[in-house]
Parts: sequence; C-alpha cells; structure tokens
Amino acid sequence: MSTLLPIFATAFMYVIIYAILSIGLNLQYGVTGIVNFTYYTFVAIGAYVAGVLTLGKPPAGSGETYILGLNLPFPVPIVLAALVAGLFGGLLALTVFRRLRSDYLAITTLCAGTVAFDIVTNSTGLFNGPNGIYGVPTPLASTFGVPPQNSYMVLIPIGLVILGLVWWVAHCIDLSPYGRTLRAIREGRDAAASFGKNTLRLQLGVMILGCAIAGIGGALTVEFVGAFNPSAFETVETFVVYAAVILGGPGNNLGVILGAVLVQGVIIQGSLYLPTIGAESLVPAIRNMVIGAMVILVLYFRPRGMVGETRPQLGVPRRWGIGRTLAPGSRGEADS
Amino acid sequence: MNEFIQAMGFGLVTASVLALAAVGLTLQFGVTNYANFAYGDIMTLGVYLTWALTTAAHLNFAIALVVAVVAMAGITAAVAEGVMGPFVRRRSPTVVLLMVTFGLSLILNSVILAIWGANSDAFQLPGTQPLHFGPLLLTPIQLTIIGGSIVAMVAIHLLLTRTGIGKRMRAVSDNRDLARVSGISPTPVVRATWAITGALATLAGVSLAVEASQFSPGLGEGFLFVIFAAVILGGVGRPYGAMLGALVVGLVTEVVALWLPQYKLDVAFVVLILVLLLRPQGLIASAGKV
Repeated sequence: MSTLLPIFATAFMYVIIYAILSIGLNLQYGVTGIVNFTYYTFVAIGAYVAGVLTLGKPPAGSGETYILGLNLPFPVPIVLAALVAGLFGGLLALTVFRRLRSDYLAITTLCAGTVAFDIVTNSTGLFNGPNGIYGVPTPLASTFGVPPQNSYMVLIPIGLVILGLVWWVAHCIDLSPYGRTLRAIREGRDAAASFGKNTLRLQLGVMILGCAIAGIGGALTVEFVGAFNPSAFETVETFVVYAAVILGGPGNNLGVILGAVLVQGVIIQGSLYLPTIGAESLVPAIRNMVIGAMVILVLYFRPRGMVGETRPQLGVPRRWGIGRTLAPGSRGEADS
Repeated sequence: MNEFIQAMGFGLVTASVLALAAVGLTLQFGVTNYANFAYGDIMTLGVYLTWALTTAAHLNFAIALVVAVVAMAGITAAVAEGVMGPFVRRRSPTVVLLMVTFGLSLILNSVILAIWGANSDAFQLPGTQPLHFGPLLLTPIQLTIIGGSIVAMVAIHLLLTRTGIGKRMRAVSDNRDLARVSGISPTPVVRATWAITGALATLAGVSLAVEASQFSPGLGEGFLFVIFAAVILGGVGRPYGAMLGALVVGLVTEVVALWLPQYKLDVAFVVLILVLLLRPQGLIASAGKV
C-alpha cells in the first residue's frame, strides 16, 4: 500500500493537470473550432514563468542562468503564469485571426511553437537553455511540513480547487450567450459575423482564455515535477491534450475531463509501467501510434467522442453538461 | 562582401531544398484544399527508406533514391486514400481534416522511431573538395542539389502545362466545382497529386539530410514550418509562387545566418507573419484559398 500510494497519487495529479489543460483546449478547439497546434507552448510559457517566479536567484557557481528569480509566494506565480501565457496567446491570435481560414492559424501556431522552442533552447539566459529549470519548490510545502517526495499531498488539493474553478468558468461560458456565439463561430464564422457578432474579438478572447488556462496547467506542472525543459515542446505533448478532448467529447467540459482520465490516467501513466521491450523508445513510440490511431478512428466513427456535446432543450435549462445530445451531423458532417 | 556572396550561395542550396518541398506541399494543398501537417514526416520516412536501401540492401545511393521516390509516391497515395479519403468523402470540416493529418504525423513519426530508433544517422557519400566559382565555394553535393532541384522544377512545369493530368490538377486546384462540371473527375487527380507530393517530399527530405550531413527522426518536422512559410509567401496552390517563395526564404535564412546562425530558420516565421499581415493571399494570389 505504501508503495502504491505515490504511484496512484502521481497519476492522479497528472490527470488533474491534463483535465485543466483539456478544458482550456476544449474552449478553443471543441467550442470555437480554433486549431491551435502549439497549445503546449503556452503550457511551457506558464511553467517557465511560474518556475522563475517561484525560484530565487540562480545560486552562484551553479552555471544556471534564468531571468527574474523573484521568490514570490503561492499563488502569485500561478496567476502571473496565466496572465503571461494568455498575453502571448492573444498576440499570436492578433496576427492571424483577421479573415484567414483555419489552415492558416494552424500553420502559424505550428511555426510559433518551433520558434519558441528555438528561442528557449538557444537563449540560455532566459530559462537556462536546453537544461531547463529545476529545483522548483512545491508551494506551501514548508508551511505544512510536507517532504518534497510527497509534494502531491499539497498539490492534489490545490489542483482540485483550480480544476473546479476552471471548470466552473468554462461551464458558465457554456451556458451563456457568449458560449452560444462561440459555437456559432465554429459552425460558420461568416454566418455569425453576418448577425453582427464581432468574431475577431470573440475568437481573440477565447485564445487568451484558453492559453491562460494552459499557463495555469503549466504552472501546476512545474510546481509538481519541480523541473521543466524544452523537450516539452515536442508535437506529441500538444497531441495528447487534443486526444483527451477528441476522445472525451469536444464541446463538453465533463467529456474532456473523462478524456483526460482515459488518455493521461490510463494510457500514458499506464504505459510507464509496461516492461521495456527492444529499444528504450519503442514502448512510447507504440503508445503514440495507438493514441494517434484512436484519435483518427474516433474522429471518423464517433466524432462526438465518449460524451457528446449537449444541446439546450426549449424550457429546460442546460446543466452539468448532461442533457439531450447533439444530433449527428450538427458538427458539419454530412449524413452519408 | 565575400561572406555575403557565399551566404547567397548557401541560400541557393537551401532554396533548392525548400523549392522541392514547397512545390510538393503547395500542389497538394491547392488540389485537396487542406494543409497536410504530416508532410514533414513523409519527408523523413522517405529519407529513412533511402537510407535503409543503401545500408541494408546495399544499393547504390542514386538507385536507392529512385526506388525510394517511387515507393514513397505509392505509399503516400495509398495512405492518403486510406486515411484521408473517408473523411473527404463524408465532407468533414477542415478542422477535422487538419486534426487527422496531425494524427498521421504522430503515427508516421512513431513508426520511424520504432523501426530506426531515435539516434542520428548519415548517408555515406564520398567526401569531395569544394569547388570555386569566383568568390563562391560549393561542394559537388550542393551543386547536385541545386541542379536536381532545377531539373525537378522544369519537370513539374512541363507536367502542369503539357500533360493532361497536370492540366486537370490545375483545374481542380483553381476551382473544384467548375472542374467537376467540366467533366474532370477529382478522384484520380487527387491520387496523382498525393503521389507527386510523396515523390517530391522524398527528394526534398534526402536533399535536406545530405545537405545537413546527418538526420534524425525529427528532420522533417523541424523543417516543416519553413516549408509552410515558403508556400504561404508564394500563395497556396501556386507551384510557381512556391518556387519564388522558396528562393526568397532560402536566401533570407542564409543571409540572416551571417549574424544569427542559431536563429536562421526562425526568420521564416517573421516572413510568414509579415505575409499574413501584409499580403495574406501570397505573392501569386489564388481565389478561394485565403
């Protein structure tokens, strides 16, 4: 029992983080139909910002170099991480949202991700280059006297509270006229614009909010793991969050949490304990093939995911993401 | 000054590699009307196939390249037909098509990792002395890349202007519905386009791997954003625009490399943003693609 508890607690913490990330991406992809192929870059921004705000100045003679090092108390780094990530998301959106098709945004986000990776790796003064930052302390751990290896004892409650808040915000958007307009943009941006909706401003808002949520997830990641380095920029990291959204149910906040449990909790955390066969990279490679294939199959056979998006019924307020599910074909697919 | 001329020479090499890749990507983008995010991994797969043919099957490099190009044309057309075809036939939204190519990218990359591992490899080509052309200094390999790229561009030009399938490709790319009512069935055109894309991706990938003197499974993915920059600069679906875009991006990256060598490819992102802000339709505009 005592050996299994940390394993499950770690997996549970990752599921909480990925549930938060999935809700943020769901706002962009599931609700508004924005394809952001560098979602994890905003997680990285949040992680780095929270990291350097939590850490003190780099110790002399350690060879580490990073900016700030302000030693700020919890929860300031998390809040600032969200703000900075949201700001960068908004800047990226401003350049591409004017009247371009979804392809162009997807391409630009992909490019931005590669450039961000190059900057973080090459500018060693920023976030310690390829080695990344490490030794980030767990917030409040010293207050409660929790040893570092048990950081989940502090972070699981914090993570659950943040997940609840993020879910509540997304849920309120879901029920509001704002959420309805976002869905209208997804189904046809020109149609939404012709009803007098300022689609540019609304999409900009969603980019900022979704990326800010990514930043919160990144901040939690760095405070849990204690370290962060540029390998997080790999395409697969973004794809895993997409997998959670698509398998769970795009447009449904409870669905994507379920997707996070499946993809992060079962497939990824589970595969860590598989025996190594052949080369070290073989098991992760096969795991990624499985995730990629599952996403493509679900997109074809069940585009609504495990728990589909719900549609409000006349006179019945939509609650908790449970209700009449959207009819097939309403996400733009023809019936054949 | 000499440094600058030399940078222009390297720029021509980069532009040649980029032109092969960008023309392959833009042809498919134009004909199918969605971006392919697995393109970088198709390039990488072509490289590893060529490499496997030279090392495991002990083929001569040139023969291995030809075999790989033909094989990749078939593989790409088959994968596109098998994976993308069902989504296109049910008229899935662009967002879904983009996700499928993104998933395909992950799968292809994982296949490469599973078969060949994560380490770097290199083609064993005879070491050669660089040749002088006035102030320019280029190796025979670099000259071969430039020459091969020019030959491929002329071939693409002849294909698009002199052959039936090329003319049908242009028609479908310009206006799919108009092409259809004119009696052109898009299905064989799309298949041919994917085959050409696979062939060009392999040529581009091998050129890139030879020029960089080593390659790893991330080769194509790391280069993809530069290709997209050239494609969008030229105008989506415009092969001549892609050639022009490749030339501009290739020269700009190598000139920037004089001052900021570690960020030379990133300047492509600056080019991309400028194009999107100032001329989103690209240098050579095409209707319905912005």
